[in-house]
Formats: sequence, C-alpha cells, structure tokens
Amino acid sequence: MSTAPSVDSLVDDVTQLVSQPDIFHKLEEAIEDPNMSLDSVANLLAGDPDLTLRLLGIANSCLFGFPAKVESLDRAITLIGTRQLRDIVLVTVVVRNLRQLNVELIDMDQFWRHSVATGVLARAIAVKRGESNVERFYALGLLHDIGKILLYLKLPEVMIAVNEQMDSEFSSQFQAERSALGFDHAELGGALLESWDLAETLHCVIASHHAPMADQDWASDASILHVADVIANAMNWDECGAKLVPPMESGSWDCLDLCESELPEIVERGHEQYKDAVQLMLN
Amino acid sequence: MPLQEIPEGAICQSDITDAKGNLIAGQGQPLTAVKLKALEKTGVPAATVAVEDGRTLSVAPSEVNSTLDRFMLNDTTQPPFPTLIALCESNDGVGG
Repeated sequence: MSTAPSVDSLVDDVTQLVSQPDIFHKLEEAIEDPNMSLDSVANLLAGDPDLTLRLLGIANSCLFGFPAKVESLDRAITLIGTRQLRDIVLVTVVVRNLRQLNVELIDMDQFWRHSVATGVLARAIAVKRGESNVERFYALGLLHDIGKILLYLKLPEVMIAVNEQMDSEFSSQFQAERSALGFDHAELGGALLESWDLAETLHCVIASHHAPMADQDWASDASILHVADVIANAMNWDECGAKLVPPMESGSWDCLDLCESELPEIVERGHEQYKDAVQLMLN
Repeated sequence: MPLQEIPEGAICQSDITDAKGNLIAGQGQPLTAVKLKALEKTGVPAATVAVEDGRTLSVAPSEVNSTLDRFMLNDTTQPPFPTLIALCESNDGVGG
C-alpha cells in the first residue's frame, strides 16, 4: 500500500509544470524601488500585450466603475493604484498559467466561475467592512482553490475516491481530502503560493480558508474568504457551486461583525460584478 | 430506498439524526408523516428502518434535489443561513 504524498512533495512536482509569476515579481521590485516612475511600471507591463489588454479590460469593468473610458496603461495604473494593481497582475498571470493545464477530472470553466464568484463576494464583504485594498480579497477568491487543481493533476485516483466518498457520505470536499490524504486543497494551495514567495497575506489566508478561526493572526481575512466561499457555493450562479454547501465554521460569521440584513446587498453587489468578471478573466 | 417510498408508520430500527446530530426519529418510533417530511427537508446521511411486515430497509436521500438538501452540512437556523437560503430560493427563480 502506497503512502499518501506530502504537501511539500506535491508542490515540488507542480512547480516543474507551472511557471512562477515572474512578471509579478518584477512588478513588485519596480514598485518597491524609490526611483520607480509610473512610466517604468507601464513599460514593464506593456511587454506583455495579453496582460495589458486584460488590465485595461479590468480598469473599464464595473469592478471599478470609472466614469470615463480608460484607454492607456499609465492612466489605468494611476486610477487603480500600484498596490491594487499588484494583486490584479498576480491573479491575472497565475490564472493564465493554470488555465493552460489540461486536467481531465475537473470542469475548469466551472472551477474558475466558482473562483470568480468567491472573489467578487469576498471583495463585496471587504467593501462593506471598510477594508483597505479590496482587490486583495478579489485575488484571494480567485486563487483560493488552486490546491484542487494540483490534486486533480497529480493524484487523479485519490480524487476519484474523494469524489465517491463525498457522494456516499454526504461530506464536503475538504473533509474527504483530509480523510484520504491528511491535508486538504487549502493547505496545498497555500503551500504553492508560499513556494512562489508570495506575501503571507495571500498564502496564509488561503491555507486556512476552511479553518479560518485556527490562526488568530489571519482570522479576520480568512473569515471573509471562508464566508464568501460558502455564499458562492450556496448561490450556485451558473451552477458553479458544490453539490453540498460546505460547513461554515463556527465563529467566522460573527468575526465579520456584519448584520444578516446586510447580506442581500453584499450578494447583489457580488452578482452585479460576477458576469463582467467572468468575461474578463475567462475569455 | 428513496425516502418518498417509505410508508407512513414504518418503525425506526435505530435513531435517525440529521447531519448536525439532531434527533429526527428515535429507535422504536413510527415514522409519522411529519417526521418523513422532516427527513425529506434535512436529508440524512444514512438510516435504517424496519417496516411493519418485518423487512429491514436502508434509507438515504437518493439525490440532493432541493435548496434545503444542499445545506445539510450546516445548522440552517443560525445566521446567516435563514437569509442565505431565502436568497438562494429567489436566485433559482431568476435563473442566477
């Protein structure tokens, strides 16, 4: 009987297949450089025409709602701001890299629609709570389940058994993964992002999105992502949700300090942005 | 055996609980129409009942087919679930 692979060995395997978001690291260096100009940042991004087109599309989408059309990259950077730009570039590049993978056991369009739904809902919750840099929460939503892609890619037989267990025992996916492997897709996704030297505010929050109250340092951000994930599964827009809505961890809703009466507005705001965001991210 | 086919009055051979462990019907009790309705609404992971003619039948919801079925892993009486379920039901109506 073979032993279950470790998180580290899976991450090592996958980094051979999925390239690191190099342009993101170059952008971070440029932003951190005190001598950096907006022109130099725009020039760096302009070297990637596909990325440029996507960034202009995002700047002109209802995610931002700028009154006038944004036609140039330097104008987009000025309006969006370098901190939020960094997160938008990160998710755009990572999603582009991962969408090139051929993973047979997973409906990739459904997977990304769920990720987008979680992203816009996390962003809407963050806006409601008055968080700074709300794009970070959109990025968290987009990337929160990337560990699933790695599992379906590297361990298809285990994942077939996981799916069977979910159906027969009425369990959620992360619970079935923990039972089969001793870890879940959240931990694996967090470990991959950590291996790319991304910020703790990304990889620690994603690693704990199914146990948001476990680490008090990240409980607030992880609860926003966790609750957004549950709502996205429940709302099931375009049938992008799981068959069973995953359990919401005790305390995570209270941690958000929101009234239940504020939920319809959050869902409505998320839904308004969902279709636009799917179009931008997946086409 | 699909829940819909369980006859009213079937006797539970063991306790039947919902996904949160709340008792729906106790061992030795007959499954009344109200209890059968509760089973339909909450879904059960698995249960066994004996009907009056002595047969023993394993029962489980054959599929997840209602809004409430989809929430069986959560306590739907706790916030924010009452509002979330209402939103899901209206979402189904608009084809969201």
